[in-house]
Amino acid sequence: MRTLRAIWFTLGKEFRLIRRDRIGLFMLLVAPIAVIAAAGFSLARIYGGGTTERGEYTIAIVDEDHGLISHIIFNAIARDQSLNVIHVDNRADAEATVRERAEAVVAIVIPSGTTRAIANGGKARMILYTDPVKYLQTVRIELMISELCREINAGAMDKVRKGAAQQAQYVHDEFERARAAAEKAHAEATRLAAESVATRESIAAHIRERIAKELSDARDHAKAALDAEFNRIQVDLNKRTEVQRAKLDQLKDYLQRLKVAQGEFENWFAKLKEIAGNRASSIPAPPTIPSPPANLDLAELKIETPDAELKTARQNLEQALTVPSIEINAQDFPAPKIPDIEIPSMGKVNANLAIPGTLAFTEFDLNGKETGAAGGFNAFDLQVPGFAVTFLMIGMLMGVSLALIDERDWGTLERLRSVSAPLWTTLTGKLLARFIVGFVQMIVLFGAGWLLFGISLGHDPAALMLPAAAIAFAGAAFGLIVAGVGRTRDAVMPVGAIVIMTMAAIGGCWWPLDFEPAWMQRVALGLPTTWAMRAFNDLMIRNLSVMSALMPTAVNFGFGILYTAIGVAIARRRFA
Amino acid sequence: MKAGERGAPVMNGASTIIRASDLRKSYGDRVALEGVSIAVNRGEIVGLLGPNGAGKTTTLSILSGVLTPDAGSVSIDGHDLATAKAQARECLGLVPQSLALYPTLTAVENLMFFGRIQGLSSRQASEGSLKLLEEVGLSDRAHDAVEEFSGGMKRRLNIACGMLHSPTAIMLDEPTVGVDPQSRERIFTVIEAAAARGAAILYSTNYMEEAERLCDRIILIDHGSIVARGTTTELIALAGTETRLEVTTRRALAPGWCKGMAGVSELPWAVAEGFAAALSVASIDHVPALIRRAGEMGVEVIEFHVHRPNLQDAFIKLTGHALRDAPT
Repeated sequence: MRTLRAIWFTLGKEFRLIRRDRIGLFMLLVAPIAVIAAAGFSLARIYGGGTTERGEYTIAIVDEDHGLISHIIFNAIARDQSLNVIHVDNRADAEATVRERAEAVVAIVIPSGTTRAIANGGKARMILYTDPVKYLQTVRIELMISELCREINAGAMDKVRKGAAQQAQYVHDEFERARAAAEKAHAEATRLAAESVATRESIAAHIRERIAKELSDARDHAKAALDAEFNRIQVDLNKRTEVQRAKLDQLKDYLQRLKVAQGEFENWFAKLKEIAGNRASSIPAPPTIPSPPANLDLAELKIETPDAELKTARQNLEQALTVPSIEINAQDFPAPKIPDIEIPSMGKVNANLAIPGTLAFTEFDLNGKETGAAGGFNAFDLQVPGFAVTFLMIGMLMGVSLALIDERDWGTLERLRSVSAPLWTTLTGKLLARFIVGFVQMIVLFGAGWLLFGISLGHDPAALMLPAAAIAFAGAAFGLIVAGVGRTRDAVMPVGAIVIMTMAAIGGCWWPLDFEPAWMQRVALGLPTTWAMRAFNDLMIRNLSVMSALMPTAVNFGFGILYTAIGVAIARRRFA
Repeated sequence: MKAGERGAPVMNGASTIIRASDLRKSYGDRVALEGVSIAVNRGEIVGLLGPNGAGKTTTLSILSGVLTPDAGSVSIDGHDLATAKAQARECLGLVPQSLALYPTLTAVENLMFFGRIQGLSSRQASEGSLKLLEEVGLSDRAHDAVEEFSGGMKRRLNIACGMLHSPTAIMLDEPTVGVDPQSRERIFTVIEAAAARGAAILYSTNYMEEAERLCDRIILIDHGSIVARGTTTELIALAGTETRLEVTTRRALAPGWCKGMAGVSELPWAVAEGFAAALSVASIDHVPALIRRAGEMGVEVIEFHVHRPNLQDAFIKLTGHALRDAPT
């Protein structure tokens, strides 16, 4: 229970302390709101939010074309209320409005012959002079111009498309007529084809009839010839066979008798030997009578047909079988009549249907270098000076203000106020010391940026010292005000932090100023960071001459003098 | 060197270094100073004695030019602080109540800076720094950063910084707050040496003993107004305070127990425990007779204390409250 009571009382005490800690409450509530507001308003347009004011973007236009395209572009721009137009006479002047005078975000040149080129189907390109630092505004205007080019191209194409559609309709109608005629012709041809089939069948039947007749006649003739010839040959062969058969019977009889004689000779010779007894061996061998061939069948012996007779028979046969030639007369077939088909006339087709050309643009940065859309730059060219200025401001504001508060806390300020040297000498000494430190800090940071990140130092690096000195002076002088406003070290820290963050954010140290809405850009003109960044951007990114840095430098020295006056007034009241 | 040994103060003429006439300062409705006039002569140490919030620091701040009075005038060594501020400040050395040193600088660097800013040449500042460091006993720490110093060492260096340019008018605002006895003595020595060299010193304190020890004259201030001024003796006499006898007894003395004794009168006295009485005695010679009287009345005196009148008594007598607990 005691523990809980102790916690309860401690809790109450802590809340009382917190309630009375105005700095703490400030840091808890106001500081984040301030930073959120600065960042939120600044970056709203990146995410598509924010509002666009009337005449917020200024563009310069050079009309070298004086044609329909120029007229269309002018009308389109006039409809866009966010645009404010400056008409300039020539390209050099257009460049100057963007580069030197910074009066316009983008300068548009409509080159001579643009309208004619597009009408003739050629390609026309407008020329854009842009400022890479004003990236968002440039992109916004480029989108508008791209849209405009698209509308012009689309309009021209639409016109052509309408003419083409009319021609297509005409051609379509003609083709319909042609199709109808062709269908009619097809039907007629179908009818003719049917007639042709019947005719052919008739012709075929006729031909077949004639061929059959001719073949039948030829066959009959051949048969008669063959019969006569074969009869003649048969008679002749019969005669010859009878003769040869008689001769063959004589030969057979002879051979039969020869065979009997051969047996009788062998018997005779055997009796001779027997009679000879022992002298038989001295009897010489009789002569050998040849035997007729074994298995000789005399009946099978053939009688050859005479060749000449057969040859004659063949010739007669070939002559008899010769088919007479068949002749089919083409005039016997009736030719189909070709129907009359109407060929539609194509009428008059516009052969001069021209496709229009296109309109585009080419972007040149401030160095005359052709770039892509919204050509960029080394991000460190923006980040190095931006964060250099931020940390310079931290050093200046915190350094000067905390140093003064330290002087008061250490009691040395009281002693210094009693010495013969006036208080302003002390303040001046402090400001001067911080100014020198800040100035050297800027030089070192730019040098490091050049070495490490390859940032551009512009045409004249020495010129960077002007805005560096001016912002160092303004920052140091503002520290005097913060020291007067923040009574204690604890008060200076949050006040300084918020002031620095707000100044840096709104002043374009962390992102290009054109990210911010127009009203915030106007507010930013009251901050030294804005002018410092303008000078650095002019010198480093836009590569302008030292002359461009004179006004921002003068403004920041003016801020410094103003801050010093206010700071001294507060310091006198607070510290005197 | 005690008060008065440096000769009687001269209140006007060329020897008056610090002169303030009829100063008035208020913060809103609160009046911090009213009709304060001060004069400090060459070689004189004047104590500004008063409780916290009496107006001492405001007075010194006006006299050193840190604050501008609502009314009245200040001149330092003949230079009007309003019209000849630079000349007046050249003659001025301020030792503020709070330390006025750069903690990260060394002792020499602090001295050199304050010397140079008061117009000394580099050589003068350097030689003077070494000499003063010797005087305040810091020569062996000359090149150490001040933040490494003890409180007493810082106090001594703080005084040295206010004296380096040999000012003719030195104003010290409670310079011994929080210092050890050894450092206090060194500080006194330095202040006395400066006075001996001819500087007019205005020493603000709420330590009665310091004022008695150091000052030729004392100005009693309370609620923004000067209550009295003079030497210690004069102030005590001015307040009319007498020697007081305080006795502690075993039992209570009856009221009027010392009635009839010449040069003795009873004082109102109250203690929480035991029995005690307080008496005002014209002379310490009355003490034995008083102890005897108590014995005669059957009351044994256990302890007695003779209190000689001092500035505290004078202050109480004049203001109704003590130096250390002034009502705000």
